[in-house]
Amino acid sequence: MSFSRAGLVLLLVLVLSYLSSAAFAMSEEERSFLLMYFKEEELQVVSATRSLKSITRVAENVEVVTKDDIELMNAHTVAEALYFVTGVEISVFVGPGAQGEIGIHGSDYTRVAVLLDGVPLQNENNAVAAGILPVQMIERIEIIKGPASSIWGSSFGGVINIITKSAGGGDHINGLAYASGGEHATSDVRAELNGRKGPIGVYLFGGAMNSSGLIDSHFFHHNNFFSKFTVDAGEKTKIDLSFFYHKDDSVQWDYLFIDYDAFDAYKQEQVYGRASLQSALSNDLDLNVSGWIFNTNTDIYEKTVSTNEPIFDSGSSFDKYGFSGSLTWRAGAHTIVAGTDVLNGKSKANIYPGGDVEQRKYAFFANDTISLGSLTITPGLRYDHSNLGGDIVSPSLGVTYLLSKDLLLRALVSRGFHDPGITSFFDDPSVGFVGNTGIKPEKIWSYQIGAEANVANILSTKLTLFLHDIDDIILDKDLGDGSFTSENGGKEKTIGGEIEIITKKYRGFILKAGAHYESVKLDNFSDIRLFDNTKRYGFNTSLSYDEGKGLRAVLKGHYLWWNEPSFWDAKYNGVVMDFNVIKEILTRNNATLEAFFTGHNIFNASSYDNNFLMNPNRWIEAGIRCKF
Amino acid sequence: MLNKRDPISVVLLFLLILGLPVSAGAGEIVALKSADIQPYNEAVEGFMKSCRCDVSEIVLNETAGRDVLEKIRDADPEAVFAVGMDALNFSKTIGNVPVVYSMVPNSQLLSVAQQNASGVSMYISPEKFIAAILEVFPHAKKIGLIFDARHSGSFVRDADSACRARGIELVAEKTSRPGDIPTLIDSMRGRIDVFLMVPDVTVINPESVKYLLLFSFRNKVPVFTFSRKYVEMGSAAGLYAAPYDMGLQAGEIVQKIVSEKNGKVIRADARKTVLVINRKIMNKLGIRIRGEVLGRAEYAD
Amino acid sequence: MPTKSFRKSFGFKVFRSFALSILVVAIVLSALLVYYQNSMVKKDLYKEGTMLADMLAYSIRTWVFAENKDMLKDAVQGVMGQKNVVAVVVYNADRQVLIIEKKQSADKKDPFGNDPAAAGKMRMEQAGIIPKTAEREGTIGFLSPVVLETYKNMEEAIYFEESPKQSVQHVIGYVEVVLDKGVLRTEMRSILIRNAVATLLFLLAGSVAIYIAVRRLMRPLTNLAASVRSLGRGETVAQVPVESMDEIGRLATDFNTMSDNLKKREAEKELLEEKLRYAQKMEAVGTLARGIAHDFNNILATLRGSIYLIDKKLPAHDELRQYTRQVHGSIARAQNLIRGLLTFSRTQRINFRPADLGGIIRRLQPMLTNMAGEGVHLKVSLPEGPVMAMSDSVQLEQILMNLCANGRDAMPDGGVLSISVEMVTVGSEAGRQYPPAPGRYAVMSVRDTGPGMDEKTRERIFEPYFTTKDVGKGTGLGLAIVYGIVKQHRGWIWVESEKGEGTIFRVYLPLLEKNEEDMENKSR
Repeated sequence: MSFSRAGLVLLLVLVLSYLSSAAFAMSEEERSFLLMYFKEEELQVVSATRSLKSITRVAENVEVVTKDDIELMNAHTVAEALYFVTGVEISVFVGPGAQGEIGIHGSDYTRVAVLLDGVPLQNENNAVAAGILPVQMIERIEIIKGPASSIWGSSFGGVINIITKSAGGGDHINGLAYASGGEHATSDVRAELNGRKGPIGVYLFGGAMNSSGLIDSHFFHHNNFFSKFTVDAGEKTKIDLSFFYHKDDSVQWDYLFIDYDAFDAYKQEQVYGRASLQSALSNDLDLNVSGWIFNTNTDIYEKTVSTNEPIFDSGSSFDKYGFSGSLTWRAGAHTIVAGTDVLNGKSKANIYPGGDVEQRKYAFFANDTISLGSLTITPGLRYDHSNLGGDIVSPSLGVTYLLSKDLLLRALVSRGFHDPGITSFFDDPSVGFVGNTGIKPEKIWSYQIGAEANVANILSTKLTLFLHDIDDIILDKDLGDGSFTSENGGKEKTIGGEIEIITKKYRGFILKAGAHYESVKLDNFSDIRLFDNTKRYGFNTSLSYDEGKGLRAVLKGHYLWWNEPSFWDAKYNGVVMDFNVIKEILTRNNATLEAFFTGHNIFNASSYDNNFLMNPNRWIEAGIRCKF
Repeated sequence: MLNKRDPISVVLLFLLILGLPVSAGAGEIVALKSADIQPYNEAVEGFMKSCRCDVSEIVLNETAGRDVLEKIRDADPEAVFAVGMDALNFSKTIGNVPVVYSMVPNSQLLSVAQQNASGVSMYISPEKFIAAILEVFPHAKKIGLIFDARHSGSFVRDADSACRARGIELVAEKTSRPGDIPTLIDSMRGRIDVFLMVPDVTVINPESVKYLLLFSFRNKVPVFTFSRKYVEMGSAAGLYAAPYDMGLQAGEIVQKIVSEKNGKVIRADARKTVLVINRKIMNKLGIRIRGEVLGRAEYAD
Repeated sequence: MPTKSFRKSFGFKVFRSFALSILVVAIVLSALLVYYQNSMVKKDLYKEGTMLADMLAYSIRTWVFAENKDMLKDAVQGVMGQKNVVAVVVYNADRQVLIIEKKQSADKKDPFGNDPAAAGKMRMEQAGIIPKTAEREGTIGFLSPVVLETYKNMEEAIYFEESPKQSVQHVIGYVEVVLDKGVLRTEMRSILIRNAVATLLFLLAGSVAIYIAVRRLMRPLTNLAASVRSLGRGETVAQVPVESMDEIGRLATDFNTMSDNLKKREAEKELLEEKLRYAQKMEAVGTLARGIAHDFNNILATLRGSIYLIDKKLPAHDELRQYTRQVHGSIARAQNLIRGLLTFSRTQRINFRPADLGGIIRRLQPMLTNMAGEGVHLKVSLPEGPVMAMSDSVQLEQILMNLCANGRDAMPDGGVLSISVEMVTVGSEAGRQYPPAPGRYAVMSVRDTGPGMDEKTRERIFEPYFTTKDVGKGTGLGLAIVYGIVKQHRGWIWVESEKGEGTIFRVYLPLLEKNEEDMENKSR
């Protein structure tokens, strides 16, 4: 069982308090009195211990990538921001520009939920191209590794929870201008503004990224716009309105290397809108409601390279809207969150009978965080209904125990599921697929234990071991007459673990290292695809430098032994190393001008799971960022 | 095993979990700290040690005041242990709950209307100081001090009578302006054998302490102080009360108040004091440390 | 800006030498400046180090005495924050380290040089003497004692009322502030760069200024040179502007005069050429006539012979004989006409040979007498022996004829025309008014008793087409031809005339002495 939304809220609050430096809020009188008796350092608020205490309330294996991390590594897209996170396996990673599908601990991208402020971004096939999602408007990304279905529904591989920046932060108007240029005519231009006037706060971000292709035949043009308005309606109520527009025009690949005169291209337009209201109904009760829409128009077409004549053109759209509401109630040692999620989606594509398919989902959930001194118990439960996949209940139970000041133990049992993609239900004659209307969600029981320790005040370590017991895996089955279909059938057992180490800052340096391993065992698995038992492992390292003197730098390394079947012609024997150096060159009246220099995959390492889309070789970029 | 086929059992189990009894009720005391700082934490630690009760901690400066009040009222504690001046100030808004304070100066108790609050003030009586001075410097005949009558008038009066009782002289200089302090310190040259630092915010600031220590070193006049901090800095010796001990003392008071429930107000000075000596400075000033003192004192060097 | 021609010019040389001098001056100056600034920087660094060490020593005496490392650390870190400070060490009176703070110097070296063990070890040159500075590789340490004044016993003070504050100074410790010498290098570098840039700018500005000045200075010269060049090319040259009264100005004035003169001469030359062209035309006409005359003469000879034969065959009193005589007379007239033509057109080619001037005059005497006419008496006086000169006798005849005609024309109312020949020796005596080279000459004089000429006329008498005669009476070429022939004979012609006294022309021809004449004859 598990992790509660309250737990998550708590986690967020604590992560935030960890991020923000502790202010001395004591009265001047008390402070000067104390200073007669005690040294200044004895009066320092030690925030680290507090945040350690609070992270103790979360039983899940959670990792956070903050906007500072993103800036330090000069990531352009979400895929890049997550690339170096231990346990995250990004397939078809071609740098910024396209694809970049996020898998976690052996669960592929269709099983990982990607949420933007709580709104699911998956398309009808449960895929999210994280390589085209911009990062500038992101405050932080929380990565929950392992199922979180008792809170978020369909998400058994994990959840990527993208939280956007709040509007109107700071006392004065602030913003950013960013321009970067790199090899292959790659450029990224961004502008950001944030300000507040009275009760209204505004955040605006606009950006464009272009490239002639970091790998061959892979040019892209992205345009992004994000805005958020915050209105303080009274002391206890806050309304957020956000809008996101993304346009993408790219060539995905050509087939010239097999003497086939064709290329595939891709045009996508996404519109996202969300309105939310947070209100403290009383001192113990908080209300949180939100409504959203998310429309995606995709056009995939193939044309001849030589004459630019169309071979095929497949347009599709996926429009969805939804509603979420929750109540948080604090009573004694309990913090209870209960709520509902409603989703309505309409998918239009030329392959569906009648032209479009509707998906209707609703869910109820509740969870509780019970704090008993150093012991925290978080039970959670969620009921999901889908017009396509049926009903499913996902319970979870998490326990954390603070054994000593420096050692925390975690344990979590949770039930999770994964909705099949909408396309599984319908025929697609173009590829010989026969739809299966009786297909059911995949299900998982996940068992995790972990420990977090602070070793001799020098470094913190986090260890997690997991067992995923998966049932009703959706398999592609050959029907013999050249067509195939999907059906539930296979079983899978994945065991694995990961360890992460982070040192305390020493002379500005922080070293992070992480390793993960998983072993996938398939059972009753007769898939026409070439899946097999596999053992996969990876390492990530990061050495960052920031002494607060205007120079920041990071060197990151990523290695992932994909262990893919030879069919995919994967290659992954290299360590992808990225670096970024940021130098403050000018500071004047709250404005800072920085120059940065980034090297991506500086040793030309191959690390791809599919030779259609290889990871880019070394590309260098440089640019400036002005914050004011 | 739970699965989707028997959701009811799952729901039942869940409700069972929700209904778990959580023991936080009986004998609960809220420790309200002005800030999450080490001395306060030590005081709370000492408090927890002696009060033998459930203590939940609330930090004042972390959340908005109203929330804190709600929290305290929701907790419905038997008493509130207010640690620090801000916490004590805040505690008067709580209402019907007995308040026990710690880590506050005596002066606050006079100026603020918390007449019903019990506790331990961060105050060591002049008698204890004079006694300790004579223990460390048995040949001292004249003790000098500088004070602001607004803060330390009563302390100096008591000190004067304590000195007289022992047949020694107290050379006290009054001031209300920190700027006068160097002149006053200089004026003590040749008139005193030991300087007693008084916990007076007008007098104690980094500049005056530095000047005082320089005066001490140049004229070989030892300084006797009230905190370990200044002994480490260069005072020859000092007498202080540890937060833990004061918390301990406050815990005892709480116990008494809660058990007796007669509305009696118990106020105390710091009971346990620690003599601390800087041997290096004593040596440099050419003062021999007596054996019995050596055995009893802490060292800060 | 400098072009190829400019690079070869005098101006460029001036420019170059100026620029070079500026370069030398600039380099020397900037070297001096660099040296000076460098020593200033060094001095500043020493001043800074000493000051920091002294200040620190003063401000931390309390904490040194108390040996309070926390407070020392605060104070020391304040100093460490200073730009060039790479290490600070505080020692107590026993020279043990109380606190040591280091940071990496710019070149990442340990502030205590290569010997890490030296860190925090105060060096003593001689027993008990603490040096003020300690130079290490890349760093300099500045040492300052920490002094605490203590006051004497108060009882004693009573006895020294005049100075009750008499104090004793104790050294209670030392402070060493280690500065990075790297700053010297970077400062030096920036000084060098600054100076180099300044020098460069100076040079550049200087060069431009000099270039402009030289250009300005050279402009009259350049103009002059250009004028000279175009003069050389024979182009029309305008007056060179005279911009100053210096050498260049005077040169320009002289040039203008010269070019004026040249222009005049040019005009004269053009006139001569015109005349030459006329002469050539006449020559051509002559050549034509000569050719015709020759053939025509042959025809006439044949006709004349035939008429003679017919006349002989006719009887003496035949009526037809009057016709043959008329034909014969016509043929004779035609033959005379031809002869005249031939005479006119005779070739001007000079055929030098020794000739006796007297003989030529004697031969021409009857013709000259005829030519002189009724009122003019011709008087000829010749020496006994021959007077020989290398000459073309035909041309000499022409000279004589022209001079006599001139004399006769000068005496329309009659007079005496005297012709004489003599031998004259021209010496090298000074004051000689006419220019034949010293030597022996044969002189032929023609003298009239006409009205004479004024000075002005005499000066121009040999100019072609100069004539005093009425229009239509003379060609104006007579005396010019004479002059030309005499020049061709390497001789000299001289005219003397006084108003009312008549005119005498003397023609000097180099005398051919006897043996020379023989040799001429032999060589033939």
